[in-house]
Amino acid sequence: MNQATLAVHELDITFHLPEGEFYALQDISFEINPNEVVGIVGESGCGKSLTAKAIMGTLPQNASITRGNMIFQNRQLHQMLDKDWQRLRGNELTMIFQEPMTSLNPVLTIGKQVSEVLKRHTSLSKKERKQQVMKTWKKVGLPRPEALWKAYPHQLSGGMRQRVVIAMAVIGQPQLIIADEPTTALDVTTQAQILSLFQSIKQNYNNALLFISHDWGVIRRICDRVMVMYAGRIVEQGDVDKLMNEPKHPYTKSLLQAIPNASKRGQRLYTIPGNVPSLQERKTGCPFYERCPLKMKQCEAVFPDTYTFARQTVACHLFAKEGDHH
Amino acid sequence: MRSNRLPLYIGLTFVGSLFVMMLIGVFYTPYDPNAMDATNRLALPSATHLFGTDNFGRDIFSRVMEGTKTAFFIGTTAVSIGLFFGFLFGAFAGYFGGWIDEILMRFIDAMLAFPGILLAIMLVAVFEPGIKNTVIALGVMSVPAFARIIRSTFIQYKSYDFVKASIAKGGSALHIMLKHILPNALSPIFVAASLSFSGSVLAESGLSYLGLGVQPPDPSWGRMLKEAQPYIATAPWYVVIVGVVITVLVLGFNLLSDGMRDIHDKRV
Amino acid sequence: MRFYLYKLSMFGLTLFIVSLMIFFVFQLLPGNPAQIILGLDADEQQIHYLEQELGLDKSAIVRYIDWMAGIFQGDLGESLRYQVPVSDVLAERIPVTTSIAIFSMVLTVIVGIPLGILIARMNGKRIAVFLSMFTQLGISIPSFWFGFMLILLFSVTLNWVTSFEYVAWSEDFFGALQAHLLPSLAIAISNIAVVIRYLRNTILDQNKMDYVRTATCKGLSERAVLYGHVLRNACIPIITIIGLITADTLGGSIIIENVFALPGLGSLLIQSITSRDFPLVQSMVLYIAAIVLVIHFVVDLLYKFIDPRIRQGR
Repeated sequence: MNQATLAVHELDITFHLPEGEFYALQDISFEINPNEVVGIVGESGCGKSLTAKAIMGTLPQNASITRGNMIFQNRQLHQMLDKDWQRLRGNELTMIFQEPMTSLNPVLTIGKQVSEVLKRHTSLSKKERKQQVMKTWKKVGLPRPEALWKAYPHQLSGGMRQRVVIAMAVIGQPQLIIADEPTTALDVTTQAQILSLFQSIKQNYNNALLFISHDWGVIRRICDRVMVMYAGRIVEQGDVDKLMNEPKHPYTKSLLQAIPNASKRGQRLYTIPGNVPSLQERKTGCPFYERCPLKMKQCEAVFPDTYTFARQTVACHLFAKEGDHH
Repeated sequence: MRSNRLPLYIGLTFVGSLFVMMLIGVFYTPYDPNAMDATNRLALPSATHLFGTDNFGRDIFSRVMEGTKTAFFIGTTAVSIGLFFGFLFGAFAGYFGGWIDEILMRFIDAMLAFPGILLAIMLVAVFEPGIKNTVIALGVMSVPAFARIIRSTFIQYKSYDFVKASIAKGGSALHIMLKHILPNALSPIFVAASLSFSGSVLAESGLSYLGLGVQPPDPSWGRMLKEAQPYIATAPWYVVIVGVVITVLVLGFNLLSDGMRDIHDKRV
Repeated sequence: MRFYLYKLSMFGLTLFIVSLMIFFVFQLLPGNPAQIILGLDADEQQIHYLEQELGLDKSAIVRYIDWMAGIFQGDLGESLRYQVPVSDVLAERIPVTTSIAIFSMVLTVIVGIPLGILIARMNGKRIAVFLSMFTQLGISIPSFWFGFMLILLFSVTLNWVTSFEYVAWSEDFFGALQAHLLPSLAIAISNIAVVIRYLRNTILDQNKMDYVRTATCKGLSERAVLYGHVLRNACIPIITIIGLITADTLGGSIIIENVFALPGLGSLLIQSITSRDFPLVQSMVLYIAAIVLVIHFVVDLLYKFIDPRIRQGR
């Protein structure tokens, strides 16, 4: 079996607040293989973006890794120094953000901002960098490269800016790209175009992709596998089609039920009652306990073990007898 | 992260101790602040004269105590004048907007064209120096700062639903300004008032140093510094002590304003 | 283009209001200026003659127009005390104040900006709170008293500075440097503190922006992000504050010139007030205010020019 691009093992992330220490992520374990697209879904506040930050080494000052490890291309990420991180970021490991309107520097030209990646990580000449940038722009569908080179972010539409950000992320041919809700802030038409772009990137570049979204439609279109996060834990993961057709965790079921579609026309849209518990509200038991339609006595006190069904895993007491104990 | 309260506490301590000094000074000073003693001129600080004596043999400590009254009086009055007119300007400009706003703000811009204490210097020069005119000049000088803050608060809150609802219900402009918007503007006003207080104390010392502010026999720290300047080599403690006292009061109010802003920002 | 016309007309309007305010205030002078100039024992004839010469027999509106017309022709009236045109008196004083102000601005920028960056980088550490209070101290010290302290230290105690006579740069470079250093530092101290605080806050605000995260994720070091990205954006607010500080520097020089007995506008202003030479005072106040307005105007245009969003937007 070939080596995973990224392997996260039993990762805990703790926030150090004046009121005390709080787990933001608990017992996160997953792998991403070369060429694979893995999705993370969940409501906001579940730790999706924090997971991305942990992998990028850009956790906020008051958060730290308190257990577990991350291995990226045979390197222990959490043991790396700033210098090693800087060599990795933008080169082997890149990220695409949600807000194309603000994620570019307003006072620098697009050309300078994109070619900066090459300037940092390669020894290409100025001319070679420009050629490389324009080649990448063509691949991500950005027209009129000469005008774009001198343009400022405010002159571009949201979709174009997002293509610029994507160009910055793919130009160094990274092993792993993390995309944090890259289509959420865009209008529907642009969203579809950007998604097609991601699909072509998947074919043209030999990288792994971690795709964060709360939109099941997007996930189904892009991802091979998906992880469902709730309140800082991975509650279920598996192949996209299998998981969406046969969800096991009550939370996954609720999320899928909440998707509006044509067959449900006229019916009242299902919403999950309650909210994701905040950091301070989380207790030892299953965090979904309060909102779970199938809750049992043991759910309140003990977080369930993970049970495996073929290529699908789920953390829920309902499966204590059926599945293989993990 | 929790806000650091240290600046606030230090500010309170500085302002508080000088305030207590002023209260005591109303009833008691160690010596008559105006009693001269030709035999004991420019004496070093000692147990009998805590801060030493000045060029006329007057007790500097007692005179500093006297000066606290002037400083607090000028600060309070100047802030009140500035706040009153600043509120009028700012509230009308912010509430009504349009050409009223344009014109009022041009006046504010015009006042801001006088750098530092130039506006106060001009007013005092024309209307004769003295404590009354100093207060008026410093009050006028602090109008723009208040007007700007109050204007922006009014513009901000005018677009809020609860204010819109009140306008729709036909509430009078004055009622809406005082009952709905003013309470929300209080905390930035306190911050600005504290800042304006320290600015007024600083400006008064400058004016009085130039001989244009408070005139004898009214006590003033700035005036004392003017008198102390020739003795900078022979009696340096005179200059040092009076300056430190001014700095402590000004710093106190500045830290206070900083601390209040910090708490306000954290709450919002 | 419309934008520049709007700004220019607003600048003109404000200048007009300023001139009206100054003129109005000087109309409120108690007593008859001719009487004040000539003293109480002057006879009617003399007073009448001087009134005519000063234009006091004309209406206020005519006098305002005369004053303005004169200013536009470079004629600022005649100083009562020096009996020479105001413009001649000013021409002697302006280079001194300008030279001190520019030197003070240079000090402010070369000390304030590096320290502001340094303190921003220390954010989050315990020492940052103390440094912040230290900058408050810089703002709270009366500038003229800080001038005294500089004299006390460098002249009285260390005996490094022996003369406070003004020396122009063209006369003797090191002499001028010595003459400029202490007064300029006294003016600069509070401005330095303001620049430090402002720059620190701006950098910390900018650090929260998404583009900083993007830059970090490109693999840039903290330094490269700060110098290549954050400071570029901080330029715009810094220009604004530098404009404000230029005005404060002029205001500060009024007092400091008196502390160091420098022959500039500030000391002339106070002398003229003391000798009740009001035509001179009136013109000087307008002159200083006009300079400040020009600075505000230039800054307005400048930062609109630096920010590409505004430069190309309109």
